[in-house]
Amino acid sequence: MRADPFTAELKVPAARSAVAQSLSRPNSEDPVVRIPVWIGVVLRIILFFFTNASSFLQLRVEVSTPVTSWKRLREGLYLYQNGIAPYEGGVFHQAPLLLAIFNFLPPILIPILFIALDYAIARGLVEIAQYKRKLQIAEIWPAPTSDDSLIDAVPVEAPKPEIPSPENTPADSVAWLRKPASDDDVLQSTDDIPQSVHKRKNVNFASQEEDIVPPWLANDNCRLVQGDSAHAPINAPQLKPSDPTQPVDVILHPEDIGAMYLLNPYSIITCLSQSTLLFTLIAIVGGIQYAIKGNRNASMLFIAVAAYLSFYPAMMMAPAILLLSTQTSRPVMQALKSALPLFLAFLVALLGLSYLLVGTWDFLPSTYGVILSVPDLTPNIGLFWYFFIEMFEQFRPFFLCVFQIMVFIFVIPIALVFREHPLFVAYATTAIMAIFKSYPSVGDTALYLAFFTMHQELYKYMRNMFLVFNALFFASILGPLFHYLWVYAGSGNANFYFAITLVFGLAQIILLTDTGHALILREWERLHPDLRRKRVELVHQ
Amino acid sequence: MPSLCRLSTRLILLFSAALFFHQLDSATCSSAHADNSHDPVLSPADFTNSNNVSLALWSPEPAVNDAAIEGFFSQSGHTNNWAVLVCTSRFWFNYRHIANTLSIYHTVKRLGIPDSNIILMLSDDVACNARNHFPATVYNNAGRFLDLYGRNIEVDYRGYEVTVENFIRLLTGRHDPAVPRSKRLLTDDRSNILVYMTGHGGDEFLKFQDAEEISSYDIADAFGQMHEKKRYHELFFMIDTCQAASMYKQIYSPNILAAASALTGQNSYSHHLDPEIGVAVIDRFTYYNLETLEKLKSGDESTLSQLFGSYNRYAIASTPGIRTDLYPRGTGAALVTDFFGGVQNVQLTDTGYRLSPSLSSSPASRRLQLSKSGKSSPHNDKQLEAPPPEHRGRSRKSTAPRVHKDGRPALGPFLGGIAVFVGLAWVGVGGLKGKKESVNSGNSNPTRATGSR
Amino acid sequence: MVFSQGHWWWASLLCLVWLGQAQAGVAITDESYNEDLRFTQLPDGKVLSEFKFIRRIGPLALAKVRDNHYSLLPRSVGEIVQTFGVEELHLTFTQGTWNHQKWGYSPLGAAAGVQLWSWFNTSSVDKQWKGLTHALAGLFCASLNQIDQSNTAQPLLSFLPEGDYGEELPQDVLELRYGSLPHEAVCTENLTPWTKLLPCQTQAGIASLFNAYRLFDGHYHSMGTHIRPIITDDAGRGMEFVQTLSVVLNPLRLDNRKDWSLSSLFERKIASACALASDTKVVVTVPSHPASTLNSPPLSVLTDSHERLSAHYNLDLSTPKDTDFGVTWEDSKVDHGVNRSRWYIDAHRYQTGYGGERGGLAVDLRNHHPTADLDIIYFEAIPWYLKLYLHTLRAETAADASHEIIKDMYYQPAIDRGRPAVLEMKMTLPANSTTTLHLEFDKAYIKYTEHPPDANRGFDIGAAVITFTAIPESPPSPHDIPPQVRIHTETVLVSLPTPDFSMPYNVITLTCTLMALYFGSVFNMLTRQYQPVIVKG
Repeated sequence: MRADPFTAELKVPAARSAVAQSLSRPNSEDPVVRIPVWIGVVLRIILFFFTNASSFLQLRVEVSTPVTSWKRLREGLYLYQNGIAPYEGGVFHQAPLLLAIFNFLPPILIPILFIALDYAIARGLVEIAQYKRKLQIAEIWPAPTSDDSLIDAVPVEAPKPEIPSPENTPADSVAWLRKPASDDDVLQSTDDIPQSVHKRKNVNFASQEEDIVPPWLANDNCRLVQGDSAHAPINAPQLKPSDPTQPVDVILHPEDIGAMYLLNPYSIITCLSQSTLLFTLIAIVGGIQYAIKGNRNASMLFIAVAAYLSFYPAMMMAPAILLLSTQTSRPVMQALKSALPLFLAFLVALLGLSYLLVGTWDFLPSTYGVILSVPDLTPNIGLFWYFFIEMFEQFRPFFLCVFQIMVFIFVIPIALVFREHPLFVAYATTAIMAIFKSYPSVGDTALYLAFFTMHQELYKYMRNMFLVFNALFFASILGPLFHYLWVYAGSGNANFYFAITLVFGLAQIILLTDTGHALILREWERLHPDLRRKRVELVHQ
Repeated sequence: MPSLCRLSTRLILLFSAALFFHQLDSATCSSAHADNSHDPVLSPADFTNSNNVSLALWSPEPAVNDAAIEGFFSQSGHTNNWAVLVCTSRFWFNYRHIANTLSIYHTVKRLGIPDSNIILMLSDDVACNARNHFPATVYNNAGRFLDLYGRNIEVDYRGYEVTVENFIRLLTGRHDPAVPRSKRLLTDDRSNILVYMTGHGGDEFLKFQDAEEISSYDIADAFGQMHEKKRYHELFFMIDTCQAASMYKQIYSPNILAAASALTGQNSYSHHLDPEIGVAVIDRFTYYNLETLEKLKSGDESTLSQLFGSYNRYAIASTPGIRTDLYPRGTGAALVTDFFGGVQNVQLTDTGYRLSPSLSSSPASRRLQLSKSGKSSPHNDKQLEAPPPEHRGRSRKSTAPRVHKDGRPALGPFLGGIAVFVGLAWVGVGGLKGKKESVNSGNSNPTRATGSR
Repeated sequence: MVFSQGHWWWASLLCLVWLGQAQAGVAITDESYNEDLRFTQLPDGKVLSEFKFIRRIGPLALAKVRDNHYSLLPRSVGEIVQTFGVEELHLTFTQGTWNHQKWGYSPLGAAAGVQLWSWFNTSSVDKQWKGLTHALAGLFCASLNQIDQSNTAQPLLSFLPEGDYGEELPQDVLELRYGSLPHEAVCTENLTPWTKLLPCQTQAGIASLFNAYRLFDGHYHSMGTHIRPIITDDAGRGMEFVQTLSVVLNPLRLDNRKDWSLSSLFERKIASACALASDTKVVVTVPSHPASTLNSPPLSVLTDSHERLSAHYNLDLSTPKDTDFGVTWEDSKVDHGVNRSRWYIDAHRYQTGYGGERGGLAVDLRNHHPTADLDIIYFEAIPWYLKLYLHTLRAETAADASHEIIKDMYYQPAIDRGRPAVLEMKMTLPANSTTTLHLEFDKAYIKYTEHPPDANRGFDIGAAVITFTAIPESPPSPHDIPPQVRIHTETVLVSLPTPDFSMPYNVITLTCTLMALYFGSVFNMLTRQYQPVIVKG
């Protein structure tokens, strides 16, 4: 009998139904799970109002960059309110609409605003995590064939997993290859099945007889207890997965993602420093969130706002378009054609509003020009500042172009290769932005680490986690120390801090490539059931 | 006494008339006219020795005049002398490099090169440095016999201006149009140039102010450009640094003579220090050069080979290097004053004379032509044209705007735009709930969700 | 005398001759040259010597100058002024800080280093300003060409025109440019061309006292060149060209006595008066004390309202050669006290904060007047590498001020590598109080090539200029007080954080390695596929 994995009603034995029931009920209804989130918020309130951490952190280079600094925003606001063009000088480089917001906001509400922004980012991440959870549940791992001699078997075409889109019409949507009904089919189809894995054909779910509830979920102990102990799964019989080659994954708890974001020290200090990066972050999160919901207009609005504020988040169009195409079940090119003009229209409208606010177009070279041409060489955790301090004048334009191209060049390839995993594309894009944008800060790192926490299934496939997280920790401690040695104590020189930024950048790059390889490996194992746990090597095709 | 009045009036008249005619005479320029009728007939061979120049110059034969001019100025063929003296070191402990440069400056001035023909580049100000126990002085000897700074010194490039770029621009003549004449090397193909450099150097490089370096290839190419642009007749490159000989290794242009304080791989040393000034005051190579140079008088006939012969490598503590392969005339024929001195042979004449067309075509001789009016054509630099004066009625734009405290910026159009934008966005976005139904309601259409086939 | 007909003949011939002489280009009569030397012995024993060489060029002479006939006006100066359309020019070379508290006020006071401002009467002023700075750099052997757009300011309220312009307001048609180099050295090579501009150079006149070894060994010295238009007696437009030199020397340092004379201070005596000078005045002013005697008998002695003796001398060609002026004292008591009644306003500027990231600039403005609130104009040009935060500007005073201190403010934000930040304020200082202005800045991280060769020394910030109208009842200085009085604060030395200068290639290599690592890894990730490893056998 057919089962819908998304409904609470499964025609399954009672034991399984308990499992399935608890799985399908959204955790967000559980007040207990929200405690870490509230801890994060309360921590921020305490640190804002009862300590001077905010004024201390506003001046730290790791969180506050020339294009996101709160002190510079105040300077721009003061100049604007007193009739001096705020964009004429070399101090204020932020978007004009931020001036509008803070012009009207009374000063006492400002910390509240930043805390609210952080909370909203957390909630957005929770919603994204809920979607990821559903993806995780719906993932299908085809069982291996019994014939072990098929060491060079071609990949088994797996049925397309049901993605939780309201208007999923498999008849005309992209579908996976047909799952073979019997072993004979596998052998038979060896010759005429081409090497490429993802040939699309219609799915035939009629042949499915068994449940498609993943068997390994039966061993899941990490369920939070609802009020009703009748659903307590502690005494549930352990269902052994029929296939020992499948990994045992933990189901994602969306609230955990929100909590991990809020309790991440990087995001705490970003919020406390009142960095205007939070506006960009919420716009990015909102863009992904509404893309998941299939709301093209809202998604494009948020991404336009993010691009307007920081320029680089225009790259988030890639994951957003992928999500929109999957959620609205349209081809990618069609989704792109319908969304791109909207994005541009919103962007132009925002720029027009800015022009109305400040009265000239001076803000364009002063905001986007500064982001692209990097005239302000204040140290930050990125790679641009020291490079362009030491660069000779005649090579500067060339290397500027190279560095800026480096940021954008891998977005489309990553989106193409990982097009079935739009959330991973979102993760990768935010990671690339955090490492290679011209004025990065730890707030960018906090965002993509939140996306990273959603991909917990990849952890067992990663090889360098220990190295990466130790390096990040080590760089986070030594960075401020070496900065102090250079700038205040005078006993170190700039190379110390530069080295730490290199370590930080390297750790992030290794994290990105490691997760990418982890996903590729996991997918490969998923789709090559007979070759799981076998030695493989990476080759160019 | 009427007679006395008359006498005094006449005397006054006579006096003023005399004054008038005298002033007339000196106010207008003397007109030139040639009177060739009484000249002895001279042949060009009479002018091989410069001593014969004082004979009458005007001859109906242009060839005789040409030879006279050739022999008049010098035997070596140059007509003017320039010196480029560069000290590339900054900081107080490099006092001796400034002293080296100023010693050479003092020498060339004493031997006749005027300030207008000397480009002096000093990287630091040691004379008026707060550390200098003797303000406004620079000494090159612990006995402090001679103040090299003196009363009459002109430094053309000083402080941060002494850079590799400015040095090469100076040599090649490629300047910003605004650079004044005193900072330009206005040489031509009849100029002998002395280029003296001192500072800290190494194998094929010389440090400028501890911040940048000039390499031997840069110098060679600069001299190469000078040769192509005919900016020198002969050039003497003298350098007093560590491993100085490596700096002249790459030179390839003709008529360049080079002398260096040390060979590649050797250091150059200071000579002695002055305990009251606290630092070394002169380098060895320059010190021993000065021992010879200070004995010379203007017009001295001693040759460069005598100067080089006086180098004692034990006293100098490094082996001086000389490069003569690019100098065909030979150090035996070159006088020290050909480079270090600048005697201008001057003879006042009130007649003009004709030159042959070939000689008159070269830029140098264009200067020698005396026209009827007696004025020589000046060497004009490109100057900024005088701007049109008297622009009245144009208001001065103020660039510093007034700060109105807590003023209110004009927000009208912006608020209107916000209203429009929000309205359109709301309509377009259709609320933020999501255009499609939420996923939980997807189960109402189970057939759709699972896909029928 | 009775003229007969013959006499008339001779007289007319005489007239013709004189006219002929005029046509032949004899000395123009509407130029004049005066020399002025003032010695003031200050209460702490130091001697302030102020030399002034004043040339007034009348309209006739100016017309000749336009035809390239120069007599009293030096050709180099005249050509520069004509080529660049300069109406007023003020250039000072100064070393040392004028100590207002001990020495009072001097109209020849200037900021340390080089200060140059000029009013232009032409179009494309920026181009002319560049040409002017380069030409003056060549003339005075200074690196004035370092004054470029990144440190040129256009003040609005300070440095008003000082010339006589008649009835028209000059600010509407003229443009002002101001630049300063606080770290410029001043030495003999600047004095030499400056003295060569004098009519008698250092051969005769008061300039024969110029001994570089003593001039540059003082506590303060300042060489000034000022050109301004004037209106002569016959309502013609002329030019005044003034060269000034003021130096503060200390006789106590030489022989521990307050006595001084020209030979003890300068090791020179005035050789003779300059023949071209129509008037050479020397004034010696000492604080009144019964124990002082003048070395030479003066023409006249005056006592001013603050009980200072002022002896006037006049030199001309009949004065005996090698005149030596001076004062002898019976004791060597000096007064090092800070006499606050000497001048009412003084200022002290300093840096606040620590570290290489940020700092602050503070100025203490003191008003010593017991009862009057004084209005001042404060002007400052801060280079672009100090990023000012105007919202942190605070003016605080301890006194109970019933009104606002800052009346009006003009601010021009700096453009990175383009122009400095210019701050000009009209302030009212409350009576008998100290007002402190405080402003925060961030230190910019400048490029490798923008650091000077001695990068660890830091950068000098030019002095702030405080302009105010002189108060009638203020204590007199030896000079006529001009309508605008300017005092200057100290220059400030700010050290910016430096990169490692030995590292450019290393940095490029390391960063590009990281980039290449990223590119290669992600490229591999995207283009490679897994393939099972087939083990044979």
